[in-house]
Amino acid sequence: MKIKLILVFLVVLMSCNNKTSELPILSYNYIDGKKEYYKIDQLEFTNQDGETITSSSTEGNVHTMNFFFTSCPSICPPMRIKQQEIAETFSEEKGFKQYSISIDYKNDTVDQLKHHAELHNIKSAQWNLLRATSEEQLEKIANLLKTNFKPNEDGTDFYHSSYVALIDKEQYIRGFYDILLDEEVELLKQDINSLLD
Amino acid sequence: MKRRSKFILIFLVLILAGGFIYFKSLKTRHQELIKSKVYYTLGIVDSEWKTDLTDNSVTFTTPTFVISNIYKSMEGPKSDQFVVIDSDQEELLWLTSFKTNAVSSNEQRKMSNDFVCHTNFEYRDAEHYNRWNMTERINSQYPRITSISNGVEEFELPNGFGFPVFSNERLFINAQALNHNITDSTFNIKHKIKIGFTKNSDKTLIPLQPKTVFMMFPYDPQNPFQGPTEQLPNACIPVETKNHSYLDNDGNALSGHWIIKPGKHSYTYDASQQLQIKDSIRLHQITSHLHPFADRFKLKDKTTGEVIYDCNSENFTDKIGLKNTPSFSSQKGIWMYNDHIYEMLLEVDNITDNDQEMMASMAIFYYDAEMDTKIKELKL
Repeated sequence: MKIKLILVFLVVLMSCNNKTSELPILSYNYIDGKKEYYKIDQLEFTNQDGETITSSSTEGNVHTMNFFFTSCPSICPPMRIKQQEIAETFSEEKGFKQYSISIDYKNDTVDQLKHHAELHNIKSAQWNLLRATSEEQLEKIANLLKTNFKPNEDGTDFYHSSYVALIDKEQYIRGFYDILLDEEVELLKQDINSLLD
Repeated sequence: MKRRSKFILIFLVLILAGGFIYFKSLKTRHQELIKSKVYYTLGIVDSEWKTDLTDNSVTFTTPTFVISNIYKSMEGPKSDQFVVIDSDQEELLWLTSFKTNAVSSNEQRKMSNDFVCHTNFEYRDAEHYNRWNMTERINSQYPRITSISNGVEEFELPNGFGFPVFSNERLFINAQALNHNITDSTFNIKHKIKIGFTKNSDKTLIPLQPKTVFMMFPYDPQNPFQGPTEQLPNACIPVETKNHSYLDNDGNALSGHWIIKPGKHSYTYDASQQLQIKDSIRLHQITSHLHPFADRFKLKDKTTGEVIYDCNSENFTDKIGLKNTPSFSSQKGIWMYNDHIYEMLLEVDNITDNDQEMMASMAIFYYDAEMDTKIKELKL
């Protein structure tokens, strides 16, 4: 009996020590060779409903951010399908949001974003399509999200990456995921869950 | 009631028969995916990856692979996993060696490495480069660190060199089993995948950057399996058109896995475009990934005529498989230039009476000057 009790105690002790691995914070820069963390907290965009989205909207929520544009013919449609899958998975989760920022603010007006959202059944309660008002604003958020975009050389289209950044409730980046890859989408879902816990 | 049971029974038999016919119509690799899923879901074999960490190495052990058939390259049971070397710490590590061994499923007995098809080691480029604020490198090339395969189951980078990763950085490993020869038994194996490293706190090494270059040949996507024609005299017969198919800048279809007929054949491929040398690079390591029946694989500077790497691969004589595929390793390194033409040359000898499948790639490492500067600037 004593041995059994000791065994039960050991099992409980071991399970207490079995901590889940933490996702590292990836939003940092090296200033004079020293690492300095930063938050994604300087936002001011307009969403598809014409509402202003600021850092107070994102704070306290686990969220993803990525770039897109509504007339994108190449990687945006398959990215959108994966994001719709994520929206479906977390449809009941009020603490999770997706933010997709258009890099074509001149053509992607609020009306165009609204039309795009309606066309693809994107609901602002969970997934916001955001419009910037200047190139500088886009460059600033791209720097913070550690991603890049640029017009193609022939001027027909934009290049932007297929990565989304995962941001925690305290507004730190905790991961980057190539959303075109199934295994990365699964990893993203797993990491969203771990940040929601 | 009896009649209803009879209908249900017939229905079930039809479903099972249909499922069996469908399963048999699948390619071996797809059959193995289904079989592995069933084994793992039902808990028939071990489905978990395991990590063992020491001060200078980490060993990842795969789930069990059930060997029950002949598996050519890319056909056997496989498993993919995101791995972290040490999630409890953020410490700069230098990866210096890579090794894979086949072992029995209870991990007590070493098995023949004839059951190792390959292990691919990959970094996740957005996480990897963003940790260094090298965002412009994201998407610039396929993020493979290296690959080890049948015939080259282990290698070390030259002394003093390494590939930098952080201990809590996610990497990706893909392991696949192989069986060219054994048909009379079913047995279980695992792969033990060991990565050797040096802690930056012990010693700062010189950073290398990896790149994989591979041979590929054109085919006609409208009629992929017809081989060379007058219009496409250099055409290959692709193993398949779904995987390992690529488009060149002009939209032409190319395959990196192709069929070799019985007998001797030789192939040449201009690797300059894949190498993407901006100015010059200093090459320190090459590891080849070949299939059985490959005899010789060279990297040649066509501009100067110099052979940089001459890999005489050794095939087993009593069974199908590569016994040894020598690597190139040099501390001093060899300079390569953007205005030179680099050519890969492959000689194969298919001594069987059947068609075989071929591929030929080189996982290279070259000095990463930008990373070297970056690391020296940081107080890590």
